[in-house]
Amino acid sequence: MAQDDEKLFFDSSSGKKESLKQLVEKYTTPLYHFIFQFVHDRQTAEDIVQDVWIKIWKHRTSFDQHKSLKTWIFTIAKNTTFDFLKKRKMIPFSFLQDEDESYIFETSDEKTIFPLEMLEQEELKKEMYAFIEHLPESYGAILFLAYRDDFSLKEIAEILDEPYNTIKSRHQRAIKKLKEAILLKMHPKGREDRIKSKV
Amino acid sequence: MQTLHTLFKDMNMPSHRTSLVCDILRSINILSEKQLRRQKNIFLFGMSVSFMSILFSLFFFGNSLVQSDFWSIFSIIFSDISVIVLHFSDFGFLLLETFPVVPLLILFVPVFFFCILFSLYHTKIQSIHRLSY
Repeated sequence: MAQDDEKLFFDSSSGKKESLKQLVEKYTTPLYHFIFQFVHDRQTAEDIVQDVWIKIWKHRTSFDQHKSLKTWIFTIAKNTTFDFLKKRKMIPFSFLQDEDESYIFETSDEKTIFPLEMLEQEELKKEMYAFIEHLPESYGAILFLAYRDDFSLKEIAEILDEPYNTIKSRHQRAIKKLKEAILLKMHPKGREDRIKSKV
Repeated sequence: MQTLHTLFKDMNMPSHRTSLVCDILRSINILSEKQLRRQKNIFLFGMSVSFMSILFSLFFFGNSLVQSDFWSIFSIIFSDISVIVLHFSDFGFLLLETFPVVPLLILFVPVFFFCILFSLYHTKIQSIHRLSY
């Protein structure tokens, strides 16, 4: 799959227009969703996606064949988005703050964190995006890259230019926060009771 | 069975306009054509400079090359080939001694650059015809 993409990329670099078209069609939507996480504006996200592809095309000769094309494309997307946010002085705060590295779960198995009955809820499918939108940008981006675009935590660390342990800890926090948000939505009463009982 | 992966993949997300892919391909097309044209112009400029240098060196060093000792000795080949056959090694040494290194270098350096730039220019022209996104 990844090798197919790399073949398409090299074919497009040597002038095959159909290969470039396939590559752009495949990655434009995931890139758009990734960028939208940070800018929250359709038009801006579309403009940045366009800039990303132009950068990819301009720097096509600098792509390292031993690395993953998908990771490289998303790294360019992240850098372009952050450059845009820097210009607008809108850098997501959650990407600048220090993380407490000690806050790392031993397991990252989603099934142990999300009970199956919770994942089976149809309502959850509909409202998932709203839950993600309310998480800090860094958490949302990690969850999207991990579960929608199938990146490993190591690849996410490379894309976001952060240490692996930071990404691992953020991933766990993101999962925990997502679970809390879902629980709050599903059982608002129970949550209130628990808060009251704590008080 | 629903997993976080399937949940994320099935999620309703805001979508981009349908013409975005076409716009991207159009932008890349414009960019690549611009890049190729710029490179083509650079090669054309280089070829013109090389050609002018060839003319310049022919004008200033062509005469000295034709009137040099080397050429006078070399022209014996056309008149007295039998003498050359008898004194072949002496003739060879004489040619080497009188070989006009500097004027020939001055003439061949621009010719060399002209040939290289011409081949690159030819490659770029082919790329322009091939690249049309």
